Amino acid sequence: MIESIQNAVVNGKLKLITGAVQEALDGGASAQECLDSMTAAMDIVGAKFQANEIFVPEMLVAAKTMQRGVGVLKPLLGEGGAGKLGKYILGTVAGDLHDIGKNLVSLMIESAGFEVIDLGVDVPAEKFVETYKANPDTKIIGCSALLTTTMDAMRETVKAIKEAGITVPVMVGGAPITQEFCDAIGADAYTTDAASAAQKAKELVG
Amino acid sequence: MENFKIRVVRDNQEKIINGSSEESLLHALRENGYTEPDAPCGGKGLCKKCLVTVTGPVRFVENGEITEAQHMELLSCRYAPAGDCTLIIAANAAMNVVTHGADDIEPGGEGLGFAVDIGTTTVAAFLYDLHTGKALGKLGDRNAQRSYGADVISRINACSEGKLPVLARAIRTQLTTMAGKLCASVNASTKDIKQITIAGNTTIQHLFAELSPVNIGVAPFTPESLFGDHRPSAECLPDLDADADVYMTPAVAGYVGGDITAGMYASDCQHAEGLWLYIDIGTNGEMALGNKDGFVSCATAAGPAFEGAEIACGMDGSPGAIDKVKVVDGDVEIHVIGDVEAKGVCGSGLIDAIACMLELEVIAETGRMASADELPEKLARRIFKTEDGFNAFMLKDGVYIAASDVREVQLAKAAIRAGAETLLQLQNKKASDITSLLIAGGFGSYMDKLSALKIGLLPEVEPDRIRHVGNAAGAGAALALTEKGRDEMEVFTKEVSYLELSSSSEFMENYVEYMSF
Repeated sequence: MIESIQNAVVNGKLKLITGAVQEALDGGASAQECLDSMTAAMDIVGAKFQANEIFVPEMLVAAKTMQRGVGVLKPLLGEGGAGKLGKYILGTVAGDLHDIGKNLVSLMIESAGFEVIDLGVDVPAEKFVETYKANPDTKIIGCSALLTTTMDAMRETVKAIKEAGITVPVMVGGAPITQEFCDAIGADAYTTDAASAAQKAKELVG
Repeated sequence: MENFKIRVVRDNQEKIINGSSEESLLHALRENGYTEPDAPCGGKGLCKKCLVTVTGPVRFVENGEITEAQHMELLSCRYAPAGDCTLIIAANAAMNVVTHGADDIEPGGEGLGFAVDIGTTTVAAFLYDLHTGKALGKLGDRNAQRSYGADVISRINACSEGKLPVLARAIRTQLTTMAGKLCASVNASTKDIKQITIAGNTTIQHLFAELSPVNIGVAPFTPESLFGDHRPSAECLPDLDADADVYMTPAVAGYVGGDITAGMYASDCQHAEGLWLYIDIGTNGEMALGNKDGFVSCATAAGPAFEGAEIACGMDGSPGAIDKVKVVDGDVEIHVIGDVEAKGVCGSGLIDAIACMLELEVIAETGRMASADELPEKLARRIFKTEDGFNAFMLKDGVYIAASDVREVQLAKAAIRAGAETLLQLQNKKASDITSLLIAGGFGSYMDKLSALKIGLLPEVEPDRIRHVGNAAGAGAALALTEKGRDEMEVFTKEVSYLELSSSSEFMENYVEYMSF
């Protein structure tokens, strides 16, 4: 039962997931067990992505499959079920309109158990700060930049967050970003891809 | 800060240059006019291409560790001198630059015409007798600015670091030299040059005109100028002994430049019947869909994969590059440029290789590379694991396609395909409505159209509707040597509108969809 949920997510079987979750529930599995199996499935998906076994489209479908499965569980999980790891503010920095990589991170972070507040693209530094102030229980802030020309905007964003006295970790990522750059601008963590971003986020709150 | 002497050996020629302990070896080389080694990422330590052979003490810039190098191959952007040292740099091999496409132009003018297509990677220059309209000569070269980064974004970055005057000087000096060579080849003087035309993408045009391209690098990507204007040669080519008018072909937007309008005009898009798709494939894929009543253009960031950067064994189309791969008898057969051992794979070879691997089911539709036990013996022997533990497919002489290369190609081809599909979608057209698909640009000229269709780089049109137009931008620059050509090009450009894809949800969906094969 639980295995069929896991297989449906790993293989991105969007059409099968609702039935698989329902069947598991009917068979006596708890909503939490179903959720855990999907989170575990996304760990497998992340590992496959890192091993070049699967790519962006399959990872997206897997994450969407999990989202649909979580939809079935939501009424049963109540508070602190899905999103139990806390809030995660995410956005692509000012001057940069790239959406896809950031969305992938959003899906993976959400699959890992966070509640993602997605600010979209071309997000001014102040917007990150304001959103944090409106959500002081936020656990992590994530900034994305895909252009080398917008790396400066990322530097400004991290600076604004730190200067506002916000102490939660700031994660950065995107094609031109490196560990060296992350260190130089005073961000707290850098990961190379969406799968490792999800792992890192879990470590940071763990 | 300390200063050291660096002995540079290139092509058996030696020179002593100064290097600072605070700056990379690459920086010292560039400051002293060396355009080699190539540094496609602009010296950020990302592309791993700027290797030099070092003897002497050097400091690794990332952690300050000092190494006493003995004939070691090191990335010149990651090491600074820690004492006097010696560098051996390999001279770049000659490169094929596409210069076909420019024919004779309308006669009736005076003096000589010098038409240039400045590509991000290469420069193609043409000399004309304006009186007879005859082409007198042509010349191709690597763009001298290439040493400041392979793509326009890294050059824009260089400008935000104050390098605009250096970049402008590099291309101006190069064009002056090329004009001199072309004139000398027909025993003419550069003084006879009366008209000069420059086509190039919008960033490259800014760099030539010494206007800042920095705003093109961030949303909303607004250029300082869309050109279609004139300047005296004394201003923009001060070292050229001539008194000529310099015309820069008109651009449409920050990422659809005067090279596209010139190329479209030269390909007769202003008279297009039916539905034409014009695509210039390079680091950026610019394209336009429409007919004589007007075109909609857009640009996508394909990345440098097709230029060989970010690819494990990638290189440009010079001797030693695998440029063609085909399936023969259930295995691959490989062609190498020049009579030499294979050293790498260039863009056309990469696309061929991926197409063959798909046909042989070495790669699945998702882009996953099979492991040896899933393949027949002939192919299984080509599969091996790279140092980082990923599958790779051996082509020849140690040149291979890594699983991560397949992913890079997926991203690049999805960007171009999604651009084309989005243009079709927004005009309520299908790929089968396209009556003519024109492929322009240096790389496009070498790319096999069947392989491009096979990997899904191009929309699904009948192969006989696809035509290579060579260096159409160069041909357009040549046509702009006459007043009639300039006038018509400007009228045509007014009918080309621009679609910004980075904010288009259709584009995003198409991009993900076409990542698969």
